[in-house]
Amino acid sequence: MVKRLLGVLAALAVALPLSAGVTGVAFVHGTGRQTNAYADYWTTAMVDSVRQGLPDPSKFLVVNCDFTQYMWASGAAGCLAGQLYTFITTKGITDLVVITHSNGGNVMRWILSNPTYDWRYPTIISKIRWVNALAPSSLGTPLANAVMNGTVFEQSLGWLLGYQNDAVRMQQTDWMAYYNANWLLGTAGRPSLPKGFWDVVGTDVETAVWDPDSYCGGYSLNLGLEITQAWLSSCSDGFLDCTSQAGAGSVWFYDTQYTAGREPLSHNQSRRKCFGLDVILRNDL
Amino acid sequence: MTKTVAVPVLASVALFAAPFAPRAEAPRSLAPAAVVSAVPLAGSLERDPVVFSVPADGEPALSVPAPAVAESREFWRSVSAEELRAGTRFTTTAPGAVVRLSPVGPGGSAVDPALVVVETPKGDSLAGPAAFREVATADQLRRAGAPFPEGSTAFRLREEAGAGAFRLRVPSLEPGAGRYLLHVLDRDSLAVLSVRTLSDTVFYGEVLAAEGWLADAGEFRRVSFAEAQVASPDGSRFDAPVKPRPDGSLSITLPLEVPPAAAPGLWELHLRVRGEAAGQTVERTVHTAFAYVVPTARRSGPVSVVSKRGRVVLEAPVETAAAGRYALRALVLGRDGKGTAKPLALLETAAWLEEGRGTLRAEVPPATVQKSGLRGPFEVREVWLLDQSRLQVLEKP
Repeated sequence: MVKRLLGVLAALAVALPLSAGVTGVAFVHGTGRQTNAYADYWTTAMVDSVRQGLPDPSKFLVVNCDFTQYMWASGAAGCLAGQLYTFITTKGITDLVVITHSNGGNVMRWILSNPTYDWRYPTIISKIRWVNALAPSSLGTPLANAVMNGTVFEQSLGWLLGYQNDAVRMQQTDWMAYYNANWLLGTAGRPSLPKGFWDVVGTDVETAVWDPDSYCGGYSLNLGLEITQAWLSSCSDGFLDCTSQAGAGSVWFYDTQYTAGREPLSHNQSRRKCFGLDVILRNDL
Repeated sequence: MTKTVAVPVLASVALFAAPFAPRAEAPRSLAPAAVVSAVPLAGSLERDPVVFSVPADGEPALSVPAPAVAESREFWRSVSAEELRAGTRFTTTAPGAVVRLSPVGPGGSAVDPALVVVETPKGDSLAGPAAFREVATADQLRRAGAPFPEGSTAFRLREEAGAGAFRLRVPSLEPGAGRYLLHVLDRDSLAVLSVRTLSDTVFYGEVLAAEGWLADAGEFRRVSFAEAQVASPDGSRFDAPVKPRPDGSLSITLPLEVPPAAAPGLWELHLRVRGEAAGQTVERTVHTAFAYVVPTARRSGPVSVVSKRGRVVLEAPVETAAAGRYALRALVLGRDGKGTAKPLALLETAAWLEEGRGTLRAEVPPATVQKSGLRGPFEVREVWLLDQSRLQVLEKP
């Protein structure tokens, strides 16, 4: 796999003092407004495990932004760019691995696809080794459509009332089709992104009460999946179809190819220390 | 289920009178100042010019995929509490449909699924759990990643309940309890409503053109009722006329010379139909998104490419109707030893331009030119012009 070869080369580069860069890792959360994503979104167990793969484990960043906004907004890509740029310049990062989850992949892809939109973007892009996109919502999700449905013909449900946040609206499949065709790179038929965008695809959800694997990441988060999966295809992580997760960049792996016990990663589990995902990401640094 | 697919489907029913024909897109003229000033500055207000270039070794052109086809196996409509008390009818063509009830407006209360009565096509009257395979509250749905409105209740009908004409009753609802959104996903149905716009961009003053079709197992089905609406990002709505074609498909056209939305985002075309499928009268609703673009700028001449002593410099004259940050994207090509045009670089340049006439400039890094081994004459293709301050694609191939 090309990525693995690049990884070996990167490791060699780290091992050679004269050519050594400063490697860092940044965690970029998904939809939502985060103030302590370290503990709340990723969990400290996940972040602290992954960053052990760094030559200097202190060179990590957990991004906290408002990803309820459109991907291009100042609170989304602007905030992300600000935190990445500060991290890069203050820590002297020359080799950055970005780990995104869900809609965080879209915000990151906005930066990679629109390099002239903000003066900080070219510097950020130049320092990125690659992006590991965990369950990215690259083609949107039918669940976002379902949530938004009914808001147009029904007079009383006004969009002006803030019925849904812009990030949910943006992740409707027809909206993402437009943005992928016009503003974002890396999907089928479009030019490649300037840096690798490697997808980790969750393929299934286990919700059996008697199966302890269902509890990794929090079982209570999985209630309701039996209903929401009706909007999704047979290959999904409970929130995104596999086709959406694999829709931009290149597929790194489908969960069961590398997870412990060949366990699938639900959408909640793909940001948690579940089934060895943290070790896979750690070994990739 | 509403989902978007990337390629046209229904080859067996692709009988459109007006075949899809992508066209080069650029505004014919700039919009009036009053209209331009109404477009919100929701994007970049960056003042520093930025140029970015990546080598284009074997890179595909900056192509634009055809507008996506949106498909739906679901429908939704508003019902009053009185209608729910008396019983509201809906039809499915496959067992196991998902039904959602959401209160409309503030103060609406959730429907207790235990108090729902479902009258099945077989004539059974099933109360609550006897009718449902699964039930979820709004909180459970939100935790599963689907933030339906507060007070929503969703349930999946048991397979044994069959498919066909159902009647849903909630006898315990108080009269005057407001309105509810009834949303039905006929997940395994073969009756699919599709819609696509002929272009994903409609410029101010131009016509939105779209086509829709109801199909059952890949065969066109004529509809007995159809209506369409266009919705702007700020909630404005416009009725769009729907005309049936001889082949059974639907044509939707709407001239759009309306004010720009006060909020950023895409516009949506919603299509709702009733028609016959699987021996039933089915309802379907579908939507697709497009950009309504106010021409704030245009190229006032061709992009010039000057090559001198290993440097390749582009200049694009631009006429703007309002100050903003504008960007030019292009594929730069050079000639190989045989004189064949080969991609050299994807180039993007952006700068703040004041109202009037300006120029966007960019240079291909000399190292890129040298490494490519390509020589002149150089040319550009696949030119894009973007208004980054207003998130508008003004020109694309």
